[in-house]
Amino acid sequence: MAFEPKILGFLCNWCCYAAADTAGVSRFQYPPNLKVIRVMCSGRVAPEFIFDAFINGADGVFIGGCHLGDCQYLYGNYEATVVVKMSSEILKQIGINPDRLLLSWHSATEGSQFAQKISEFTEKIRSLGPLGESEGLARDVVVERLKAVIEGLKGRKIRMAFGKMCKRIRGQNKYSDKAFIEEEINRRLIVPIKEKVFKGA
Amino acid sequence: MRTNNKTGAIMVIGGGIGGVQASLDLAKAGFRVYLVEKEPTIGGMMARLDKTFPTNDCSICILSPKLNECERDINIDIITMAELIDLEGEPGEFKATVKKRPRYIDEEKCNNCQMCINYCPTIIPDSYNENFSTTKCLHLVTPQAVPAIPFIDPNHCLFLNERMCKICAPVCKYEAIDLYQEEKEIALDVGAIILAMGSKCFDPSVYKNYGYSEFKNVVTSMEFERILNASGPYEGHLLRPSDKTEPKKIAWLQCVGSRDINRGHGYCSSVCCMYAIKQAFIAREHSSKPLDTAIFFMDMRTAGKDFDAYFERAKSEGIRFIRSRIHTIFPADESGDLLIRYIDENGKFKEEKFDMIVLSVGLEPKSDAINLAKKLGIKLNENNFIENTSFEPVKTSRPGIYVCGTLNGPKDIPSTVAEASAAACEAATLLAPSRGRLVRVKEVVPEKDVSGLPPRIGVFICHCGTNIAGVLSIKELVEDAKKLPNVVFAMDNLYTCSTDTQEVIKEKIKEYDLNRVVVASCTPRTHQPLFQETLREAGLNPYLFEMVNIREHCSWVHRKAPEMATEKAKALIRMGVAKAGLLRPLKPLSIDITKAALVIGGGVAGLVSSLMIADQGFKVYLVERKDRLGGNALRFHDTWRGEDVTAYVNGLIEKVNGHPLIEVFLNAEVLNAEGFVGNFETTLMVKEKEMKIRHGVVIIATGADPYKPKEYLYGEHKDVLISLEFDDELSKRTERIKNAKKVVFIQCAGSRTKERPYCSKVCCTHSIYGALKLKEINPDINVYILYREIRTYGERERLYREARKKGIFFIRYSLNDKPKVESINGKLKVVVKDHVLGIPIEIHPDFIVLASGIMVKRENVEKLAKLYKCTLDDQSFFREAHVKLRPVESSTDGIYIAGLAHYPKPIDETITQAKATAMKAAELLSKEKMIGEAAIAFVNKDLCIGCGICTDLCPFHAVKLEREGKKMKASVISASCKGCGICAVHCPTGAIDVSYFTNSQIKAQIEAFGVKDGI
Ligand code: FES
Repeated sequence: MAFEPKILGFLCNWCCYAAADTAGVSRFQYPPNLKVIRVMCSGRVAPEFIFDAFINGADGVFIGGCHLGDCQYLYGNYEATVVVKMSSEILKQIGINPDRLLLSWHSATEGSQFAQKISEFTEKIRSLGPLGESEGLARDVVVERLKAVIEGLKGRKIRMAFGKMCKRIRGQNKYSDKAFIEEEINRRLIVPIKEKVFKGA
Repeated sequence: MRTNNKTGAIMVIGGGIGGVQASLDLAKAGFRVYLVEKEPTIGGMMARLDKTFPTNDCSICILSPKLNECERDINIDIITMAELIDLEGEPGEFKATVKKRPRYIDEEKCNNCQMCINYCPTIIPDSYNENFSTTKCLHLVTPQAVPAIPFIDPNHCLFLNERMCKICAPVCKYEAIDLYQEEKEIALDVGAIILAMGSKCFDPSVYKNYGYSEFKNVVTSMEFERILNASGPYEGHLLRPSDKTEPKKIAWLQCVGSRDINRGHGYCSSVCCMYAIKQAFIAREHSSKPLDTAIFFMDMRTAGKDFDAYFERAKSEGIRFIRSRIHTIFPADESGDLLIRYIDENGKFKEEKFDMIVLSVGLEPKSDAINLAKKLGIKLNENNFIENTSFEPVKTSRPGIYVCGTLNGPKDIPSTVAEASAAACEAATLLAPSRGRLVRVKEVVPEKDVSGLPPRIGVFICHCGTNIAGVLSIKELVEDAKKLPNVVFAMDNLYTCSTDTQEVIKEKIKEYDLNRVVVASCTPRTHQPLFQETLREAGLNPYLFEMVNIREHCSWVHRKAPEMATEKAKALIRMGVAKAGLLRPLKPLSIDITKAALVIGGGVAGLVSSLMIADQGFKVYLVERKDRLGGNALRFHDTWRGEDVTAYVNGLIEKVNGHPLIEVFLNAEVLNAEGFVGNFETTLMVKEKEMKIRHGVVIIATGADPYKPKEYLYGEHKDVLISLEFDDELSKRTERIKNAKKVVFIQCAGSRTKERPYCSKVCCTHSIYGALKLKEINPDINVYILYREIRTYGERERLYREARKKGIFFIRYSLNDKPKVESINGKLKVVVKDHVLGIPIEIHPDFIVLASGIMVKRENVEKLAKLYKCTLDDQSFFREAHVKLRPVESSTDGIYIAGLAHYPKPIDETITQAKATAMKAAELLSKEKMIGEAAIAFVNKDLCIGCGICTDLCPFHAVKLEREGKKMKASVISASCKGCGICAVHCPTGAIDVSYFTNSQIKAQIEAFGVKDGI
């Protein structure tokens, strides 16, 4: 049987979930590979959810929120940008193509854009193949590393560092400063997580 | 004493944002509301806009939740397709008659399955999309329509016109289609009426030389909104109508129908400058290639909060602004391109070609609103807007009837929202003795205790006619659901949302002893509340419910892959069931409320707010820093319409001092504040004594100060005055005023500069008013007004017209070539470059008036902002919770802002805001208990290490650290938490989590997602 990508989406209730509803009402067609978990805000998506989704068979993970500035909870989607940035970095570090994780903004009226985005993402994942394939990693290796990441993310030190980093970014209003965020993530999070993941290896 | 016979119900006419806001406010404050709307759906003009300025928020996204809230509120009856036709009786006891046109669909029976729409054979132009696209004769106005009920357009229906067709009627399983439906009259008892009928866009066909009816690529701004809109005719692709190609050059022509007494209206429409900039921004975003945008204007009237910054950003991003009123649009050739000719700022003749031209049409009253006003005996002003005064901005000439929004003069959305709350406040005050009399309350069914019981889940799967069943195999879904863990029962329904199915669900809950329910049908965003209600009626906690969307997210969007779609639906149901197994009953916290308000600031805003709160029967503590009430208004004399401010303020002070429910503290300051919405405790320092006050809400009305210029010899030369000083001399008719032969006004003295990059909004009107007064005293006087932009917005334009007619000289200068003021032997000399002649002009005035703007000293408000957890903007004005829809609320619940503390504004707008804050306060104070959200964060104290990350990251300051024994522990302020879950994501120990979306529930969903192979 041909490969059908499995995609898990976390959509915020107020905008992206509503965009998906609008796509429905307007009958904009897209491939059925996406399954949706409704959350109140894209800022509710914890990094563990993303890695857990991959462990549970997702070949791609989609996170959809309101356009920046439109979040019902003011900062939620900004927080999501940080979580996704950090998760992509970690994926990269453990050898998984970060293109398998996509963050996207859609307002309630943008049904056709939503349908298009999902179609594109599905095709992208289809071209990458099952998780691990385009990366040249066996599935059990991938899962093992992802589990190590989740274990690592449970560590209080790392979690403190994560929380504090987000506080700094908020405090200094650095959400649009890519370099700053990257530097923070690399310095405070990537190194300790890498240690955890690869310690035995 | 006469007993109170007042009717505790209000009729709101017009379901745009103004009417919707007024209805919500009143329903929350304990009144019944009849919301009467002429169209088949509420939402008005705002629902049709694409984005809103100055934040470029999506218009329908921010409006929809309010529309849905309106529909769900059991105390708001929405009566669509209806008009008020008769009114008798007195304020407080009106008898109204409403005429309802037939929708041809029974609103009670219809459940919007839309089957009928599929069958309707008649295609008609879609007027909602300005006729750029088509729809069916039987149609839903928009996907977001509230109420979500289709209607039949009687002008096009084959049956209604020719007695043919009738295909739709038998299709409907609910027999909701009634082609014989007739107009009916409804009699209603109401205590007050609020007119919120809005306005319409000016029809530019009268401007023959713009060729609007002739050239396809000349469109109105409303048409352009629809073109930009993702739900619009081109799905949000920027295309021009003639050949559906992407334009590369677009021009906006301002003031079409505005500021033109000959062919349009004399007034300024207030909103067009801002919306043109917004459209230019959005058009550039939508365009795949760089888009050239040019706005042709007379004055850019970007006077509101953050508006000037928007204007500046537009300039810096390359939107072109050309000061020229265009008289004619020519066709360039056969291609549909258009040609404009104009004289540029340097006096050069220019000709430019555009692919598309947008006419920035103004706002004008609708004829049905004018007719209704006349019929009700309500006075209209010379522009056919409702006549009001600066001191009673939302009262009509007929007692008991109030007005808000653009029917009350042209204005933007936040001003409309503030007026709506103010109008609601007037009605609520009039009817205060009858508050709560007519409210409906839900019957409470005792809740079954399910704690400790293993989950017993029932799954109900909807066919939605053929909407779902036409694509998915429902049979397979039911079979699959039955096998899922904890599921003890599963069935399918033709329409799970129909009234009869609700009874079925209740029976099954009983029969199978279900303690969790999953419905797989359409979107929870519209239908979840309905099913939760069913659970409640069956004695189950409404949070033991999970909804799975297999229509919008599945059958409707995967029509071509029915098998895969069925597999997907199975997975979605599996995930829903997994979450359901972990659901816990939730109880929103109910909190007692301290029924008193603290008003900080004793200027006009504070005085009005205090009075309106007290008149509704609540205790008010009014705190003023100085030794007397009145604030800045004590220094004013006239409004722009010539009304006496001094008398008004003195009247207010007298009423406040005599009011039994208002306690005034002079020479008082706020020292400390604790608590949160519903229950604050504030420590005051009153004449060097500390005292504590308990209250439920706070109104911040701390005002502002006049800017003291450092420029133009102010403070150095005795003949250089600021506006307030001039006003004082004017009212006293000093010698200097009487003898003056030449006077210069310099506008924007210290405003719209780098240090203060905002417009003070009032100065243009103020100076022109003063100049006219000088002319009145001495008709031979020469008055020069040196300006950068004349911003006599709205109906204030009348003054500007009059000033020019009376021969006042207006000389425009630019920021980089400001007027020079010198003193030569004690005599003043002003040099300014005339923009028409291009040469410097020398004036030797007797005195100079500096329009010096309004500012807030940071040190005056910083502490207050911190104590009440409000935010200030860069200019130290208090930030509102939402610039469009929550203009008088701060982002912290229970704290409201009015007057200059929010932004510079004239007295009528200050009064409106003050009344709006009084309404907000009354909404809260009128409740016995405050019911919080149920799906909010909670803390596992054993795991909490008191690190404070959650307290810092919570956007609403809803988590606080409290000492428990030796340790600090986080605790959630239930009244403030909104359930976003940001805290849960960042907690280092997993101690804080959010109900209904807990970590373990989401994890269960993720695992269920992964259970089977396939897609
Ligand atoms: S609510 Fe949509 S991203 Fe926060």
